[in-house]
Amino acid sequence: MRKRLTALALCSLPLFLAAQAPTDYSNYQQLSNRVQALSKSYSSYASSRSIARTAGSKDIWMITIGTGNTASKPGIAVIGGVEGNHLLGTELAIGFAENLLKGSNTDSIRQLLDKTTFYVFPNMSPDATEQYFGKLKYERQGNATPTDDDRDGKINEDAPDDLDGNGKITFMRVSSPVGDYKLHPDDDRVIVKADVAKGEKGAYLLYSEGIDNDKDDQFNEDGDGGVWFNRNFTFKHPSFTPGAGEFPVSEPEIRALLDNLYDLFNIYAVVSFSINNNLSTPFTYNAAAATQKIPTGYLEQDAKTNAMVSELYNKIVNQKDAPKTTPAGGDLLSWAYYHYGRYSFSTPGWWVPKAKPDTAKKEKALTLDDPVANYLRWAAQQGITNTFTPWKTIQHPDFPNQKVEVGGLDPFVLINPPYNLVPGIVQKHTAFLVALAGYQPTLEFVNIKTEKLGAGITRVTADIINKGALATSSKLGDRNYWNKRIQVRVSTTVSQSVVGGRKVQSLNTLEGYSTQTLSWLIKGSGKINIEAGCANTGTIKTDINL
Amino acid sequence: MKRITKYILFLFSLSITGALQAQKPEQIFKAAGSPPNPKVPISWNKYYDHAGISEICKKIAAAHPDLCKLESIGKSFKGRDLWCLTITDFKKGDANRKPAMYIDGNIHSNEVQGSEFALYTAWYLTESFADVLFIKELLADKVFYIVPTINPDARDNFFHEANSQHSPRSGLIPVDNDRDGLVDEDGYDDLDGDGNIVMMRRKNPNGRWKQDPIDPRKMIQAGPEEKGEYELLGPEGIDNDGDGLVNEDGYTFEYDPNRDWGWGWQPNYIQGGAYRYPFSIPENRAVMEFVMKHTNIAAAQSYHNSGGMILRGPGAAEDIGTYNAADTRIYDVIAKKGEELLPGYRYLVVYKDLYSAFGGELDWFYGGRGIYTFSNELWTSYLMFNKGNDADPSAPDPSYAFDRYLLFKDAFVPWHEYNHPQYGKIEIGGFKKNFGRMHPGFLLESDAHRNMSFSIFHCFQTPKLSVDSVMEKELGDGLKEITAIINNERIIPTHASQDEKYRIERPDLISISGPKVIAGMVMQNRDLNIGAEQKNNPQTIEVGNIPGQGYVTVRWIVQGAGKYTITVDSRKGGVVSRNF
Repeated sequence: MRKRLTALALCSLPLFLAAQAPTDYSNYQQLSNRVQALSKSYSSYASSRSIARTAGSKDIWMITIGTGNTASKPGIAVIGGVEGNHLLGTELAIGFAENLLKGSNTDSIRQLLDKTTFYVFPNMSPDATEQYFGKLKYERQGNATPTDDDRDGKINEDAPDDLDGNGKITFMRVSSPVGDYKLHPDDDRVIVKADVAKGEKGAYLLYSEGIDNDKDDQFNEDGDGGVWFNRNFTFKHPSFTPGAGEFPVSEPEIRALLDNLYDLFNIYAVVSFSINNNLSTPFTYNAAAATQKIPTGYLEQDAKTNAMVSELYNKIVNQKDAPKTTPAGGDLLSWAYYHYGRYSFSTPGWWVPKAKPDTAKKEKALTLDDPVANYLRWAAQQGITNTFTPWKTIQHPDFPNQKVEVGGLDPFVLINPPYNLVPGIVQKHTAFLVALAGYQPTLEFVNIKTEKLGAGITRVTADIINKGALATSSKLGDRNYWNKRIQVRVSTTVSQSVVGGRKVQSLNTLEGYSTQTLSWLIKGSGKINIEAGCANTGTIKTDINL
Repeated sequence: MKRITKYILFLFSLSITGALQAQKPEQIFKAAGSPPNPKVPISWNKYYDHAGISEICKKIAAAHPDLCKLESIGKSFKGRDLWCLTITDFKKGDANRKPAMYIDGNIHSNEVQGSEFALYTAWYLTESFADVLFIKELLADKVFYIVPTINPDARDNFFHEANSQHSPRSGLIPVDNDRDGLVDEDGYDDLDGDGNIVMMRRKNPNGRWKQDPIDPRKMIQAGPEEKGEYELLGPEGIDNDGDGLVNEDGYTFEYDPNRDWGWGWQPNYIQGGAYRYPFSIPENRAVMEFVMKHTNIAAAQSYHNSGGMILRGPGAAEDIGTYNAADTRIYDVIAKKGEELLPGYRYLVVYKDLYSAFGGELDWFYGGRGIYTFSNELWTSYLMFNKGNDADPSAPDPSYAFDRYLLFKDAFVPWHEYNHPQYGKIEIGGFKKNFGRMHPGFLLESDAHRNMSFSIFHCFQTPKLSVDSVMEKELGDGLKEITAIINNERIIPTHASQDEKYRIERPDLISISGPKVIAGMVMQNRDLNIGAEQKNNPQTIEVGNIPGQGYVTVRWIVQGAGKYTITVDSRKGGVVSRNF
């Protein structure tokens, strides 16, 4: 299998390079080709390797972009495929790598790559994303690990079924006096929850399209796959719920990602693409949540940093009305901040814009906010067709005497834009990532002073400044031993000695644009050398004449 | 070929040593409760390193092929085998389907005697099988999985390298504890080269310590208006890296393997000792994989030292809700029996009586897999003079007297002078690493036997299911109603409440084969005919739990007469069948 893949990859490479930019989302093979093409075309800046194979025998690619000793420079991890139904996330990650490397013939990008290393993981859910390209198209998040989602001792015994044979899993609605759904008041294609608090009565039961294959009164509750990448992390792991895995970090691809990240002490920020969004709207400080023994809210300083980076994002990406999100637990965004101890940012990259009423069609503003109703308006204005399946009555074995209709909005379309919009979105996010790297912690020695105290003793004073907007580690990360501390070392010759101050010392976090003053008493003459730094700041050195 | 020759030589040498060591059977009179002429003679008054354990495991497995199978469940970080002894009567039933007791030891490197206790259990069960009816019956029903050490790298390090009684606690994966970018650059230094890391003291007229007039080897604090003679400088070491700190980054505390398990795991800044993520320590990963594969494990014991405790979870105060009253009652019954069997041991709950810690092994076994699990903290100073206990701070420390009168000062490195490169003239002395937390030789076998007896009681109480009774009633038109009572005669249910709540293991399956099944139901009250029908697949009724010392009732409506078989299939309760 492996051999065949490599052969395939090799022979398709020249074809790909010659070909135009992709015109649709990439499947596993196409993505692998794009990864290989990058490390081939830009071998002095990029290398790629597979860090793991999934249960579905798919490689997880890691692309390292930088120059020289990449592990000694501050780094940003860029992660896509966080949710298997979010094809755009993979495009944003691989597209960022492609754009960045395309720019490597410019001075500005070359300088950037001399001081910053990027680690790009384009798709963490390749088993699941493949469903988009499959014969049966449905939004899948689980990998190919067999799981018993409903914990009844049987594996994958009740998958969705394509009842109307259109190759997509949409929805089915059952007319029922005990239904809890009703038609949208402005658009009868759309079905919405009846608001019992307002005395509304429902007329439909709503299910995903399928049959109760195992006759347990639940529909499609245990289909193919698997463990969800974005539910298998350690922070607030939703144990024993579908997709969470038997315990946190149970999957080989997640373990491999974490092992790689933990080994890379130089990484200071993780930027991921997922439904969670702290870039459009930053997390805010909540004293009660932040000061618990197990913090569940951002520390005050980190919330400020999030706000600063969010401002940068909104300035560059400039997309309004992002849906509000709250990380559900077991997710990458929370893990990277709370457990990995790094700055962590995530955005879906795109969402359906708020559609204005089409006055030509005499539309009025929606009386009831609903994402599907909004999408249908927006899609019509964009000339997008064929993403909605009209409701059609079918005979359903589980509802022999009831009216059952199959139809509704296509999978994927609410979070993955038409592909022609993708290059523009990728470009803006590339610009954001480049600008974020401009915020990275950067050390410099300033105000170096030597004062002779007589008798061969010199007082040496130096300020160490962080010229970057980001602190040398997040406030929470400062507590975490997976972050290194800045080490300051004074090197002396045999005839010199440090008689006051510490020859070797660790510094606490240096906030963005802040300074710390250090001083030593040195006995002897000639030159000493002072070195300061740690993995995620790089190391600086200076010689001082006594 | 070479291998075979080696093996023959090995057997040959075995038989010679056997002949040299063992008395002739007719010279021996059996002491009650001990195998008089074991096939594998082992002395239980000493400790064994990993090679020693490996040899004992191989000998037991070779001597008792129908009772013991040896396998390696994985490799340690440094590549040592993690041995597991499966002990059961392999001639009776399917070993993989019998309710199982899992036992391991030595998760903390310096807490070594759990390995000997676990090995003793394997040895005793196999050597007693022929003579002791209770053991014979136990091994017909149950299986023991015994992993003597789940931390062999650091076990060997504890024995063969310089250590104190408290080091290393960790395994040997290197960690940069002080976050300076250097790894293990400043550990202990065995200044006097005797293999024991003991204490450093220095004569100092301003010091606040003095020698105890009762036993001058002991350092005590000077009283409020009294002058001291000494200052204490901590365990043997020097500031190797010149950062002004002594012994701050060594291998002795890289991480804590008992903060690495997949239930309630928290990172290092919340839970000191946590490594990367659950099961990021390879030895623990091997255990996890073994447990996930052996769904018949219903009970477990993880040996630690010391303090004389029978511990149960929750490990963390935040996890109190995981242990409900029904399960606590079961833990109580078993552990209170343990207090009787283990003089000096107290039944305690980790989070409130010891300390609150996340990600412990017993938390995952219970919280993550629904397995009733204890951790015994082996050895207590109670065993020195059969009085006092480790929890009473006002009691005088019996260690010095015990060492003097029973060990004849074998456990103590006498204070002696040393010229320290940073502190100048100092003295080094203190208890050796084999004293304080470890059993002295003459008490090792006795306490191993007692702890084993507790595990045997624990294992005995795992579910024992039977198709207790069956009632038939003709319904006319060729239909018959069959009602079966499925009984569990022991204390432990097939599903702990945690297991049932989260459906960790699948439901128990009670099936009937033979006649055509028209309907099936679980009965709440068979006399008043109150039950819940199972619409799908009625010939195999699923029940969430068969309670300890309790029963469930199922009923089928079947067509046709003739013979039938009722089978109960439970992951943790085993499989039983009865023909009618």
